[in-house]
Amino acid sequence: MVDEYVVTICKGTGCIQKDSTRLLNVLKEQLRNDPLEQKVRLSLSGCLGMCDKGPIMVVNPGYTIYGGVTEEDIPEIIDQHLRKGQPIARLAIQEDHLFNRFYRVFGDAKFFGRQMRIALRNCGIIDPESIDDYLSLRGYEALAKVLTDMKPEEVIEQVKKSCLRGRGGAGFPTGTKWEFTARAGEGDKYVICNADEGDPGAFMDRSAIEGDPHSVIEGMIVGGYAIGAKKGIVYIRAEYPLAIRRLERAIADARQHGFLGEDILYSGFSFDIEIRLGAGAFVCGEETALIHSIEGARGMPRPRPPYPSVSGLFGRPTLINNVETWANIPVIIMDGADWFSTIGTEKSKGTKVFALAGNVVNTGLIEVPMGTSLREIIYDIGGGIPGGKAFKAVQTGGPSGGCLPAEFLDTPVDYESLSQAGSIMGSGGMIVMDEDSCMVDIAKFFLEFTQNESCGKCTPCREGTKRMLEILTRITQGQGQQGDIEKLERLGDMIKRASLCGLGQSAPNPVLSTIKNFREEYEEHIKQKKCRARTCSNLLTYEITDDCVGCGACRKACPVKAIKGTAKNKHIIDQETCIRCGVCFTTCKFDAIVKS
Amino acid sequence: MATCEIAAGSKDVMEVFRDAITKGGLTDVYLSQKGCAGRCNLEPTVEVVEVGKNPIRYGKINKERAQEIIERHLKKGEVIREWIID
Repeated sequence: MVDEYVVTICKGTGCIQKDSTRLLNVLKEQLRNDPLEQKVRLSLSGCLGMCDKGPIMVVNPGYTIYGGVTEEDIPEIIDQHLRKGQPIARLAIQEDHLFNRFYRVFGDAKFFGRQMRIALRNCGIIDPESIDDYLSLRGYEALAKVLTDMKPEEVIEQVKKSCLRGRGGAGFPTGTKWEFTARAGEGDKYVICNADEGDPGAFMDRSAIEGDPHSVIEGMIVGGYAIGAKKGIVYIRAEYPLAIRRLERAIADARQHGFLGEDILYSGFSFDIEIRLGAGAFVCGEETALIHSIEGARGMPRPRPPYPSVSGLFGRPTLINNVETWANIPVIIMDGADWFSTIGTEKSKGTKVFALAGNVVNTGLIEVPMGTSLREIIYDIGGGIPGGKAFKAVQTGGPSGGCLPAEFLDTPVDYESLSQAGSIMGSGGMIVMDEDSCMVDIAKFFLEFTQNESCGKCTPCREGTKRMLEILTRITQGQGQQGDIEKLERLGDMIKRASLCGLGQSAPNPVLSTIKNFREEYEEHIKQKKCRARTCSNLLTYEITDDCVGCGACRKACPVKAIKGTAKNKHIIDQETCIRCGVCFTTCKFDAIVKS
Repeated sequence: MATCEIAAGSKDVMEVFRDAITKGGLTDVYLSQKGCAGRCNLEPTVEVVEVGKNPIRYGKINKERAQEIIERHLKKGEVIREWIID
């Protein structure tokens, strides 16, 4: 803000144990009635990753980090640093972590308070089109370290030790994947970055590439060195023109600086990256379909095994990771696997980026440590539900995920807990829904998407999703029949078990999870022909209230001439003729039409 | 200046600042772009970074507000509190 100083106290688990909260209170107490009170702002931060030196206090501007601060140090900090502007050398510690860059720049950030930025560490901090900006934040240092100090096996060992898991959604251990590919014999190998982000409402990969393309490139080069590949390919959707342009620019700059191409940094290792554009098919995000697409074939999946790590692109061993996974690599190399594995939960380490969207105040892109609860994400970071409405459900994992109701709000975000709750981690889409959302309609929306995107290769997915969608459409139109729910469940279960690839195996999830958690809504739609959220227009009746001024706008807009009335007199809707399209409702300027 | 920011109108805002530097005689200011910080609902965002001071972040900036930032903040050093985001 406009304050002269911002004092940030770490509120990570480690520092809280060392009583950092008390430290804040003491500071607040001693500043009271001091003229400094107006000039100093106190704030809390998420884990700053220096737990062994805690409690940690950061003073900005200047980014002075004080470690092991005690109550007795507070008067000195106030007098020396905040009053006289002289940082205290005795307490200052030197730490140069790669992550959480925004604290260095901003010193504080309420919105960032509970966040921890590893993959997005440079997003919003640097100019993405300037390699110098990236270099100034120790860019390509991980690459130099790997090429000069580490053997390929050691790199893989570090990644394994970090317990990093695939951020594309499935959560396969990244280090293990690297090891398989490295061991898959000699000869040509490939490294692929999967940037074919297709979930509706998700934009993590796009923002990561648009905000910091070099991190992804650096991660890929390190990966290439570790497995012995000379060629990398970024497979990115053509719908991301700006991301593609910045990536092209970044690759060209990296080449010019000797980070890509022959004999990188005079190490003898050569590696280059090219970009392949996806034509927008959702299924191409599935790794085997993506590989087919690069080969020039139709983007269709094939049964696994063999996995791409053994037989991938052009039949050669291929290491394929998601954008976010790659962006984590430089941090693991520089800040260390031991450090990285202290963040998160027992089985899910590190952080996860989410695209927060839907009925939430702060829509945007966030990155939180694994194990943060859905409640903290939606209420503390997301700022809650707008308009004082009630929370109804949160959808994670996009069209492959599920809807979780309020009783799951305290579920920690990690791979296991989310799948136990009946959803998935997925690639990071998170859609918050308020009381006005109809769960049947949401399920229909996602199924419509997967049904459209089904490649048609295997019958369960091609035919099954179609039948499910027909049933759902019927239900939302008021023609649901007794037994429809059971039919959906049976079909869904079958599609999940019999489909060839992840698309089909997960396509029924939105339907099955909403049936599981909101069964009564389905029953209402079928038996009472009622939509409690007033979303399914076919189940509603429209009526004109006494607020009607007789302007006639609705009468003119009605496509079936169901509205009768004369000027300046209250109009009436003929329910027999009305097709429940809702045009009158949106046309009325006087809120005189109600749905029920 | 990520896709989301551009969609919210950040290019227009950038133009205002660029014009002020090239035509309006605004000196001592370096104009730069950045990626998405995640504040999609407050975009376009503008940050004023001054050596030795904490950066000021403004949200929901349009052409008119950009002009005002130039006049009040960049030229006169006045921080416009109402537009600050945290």
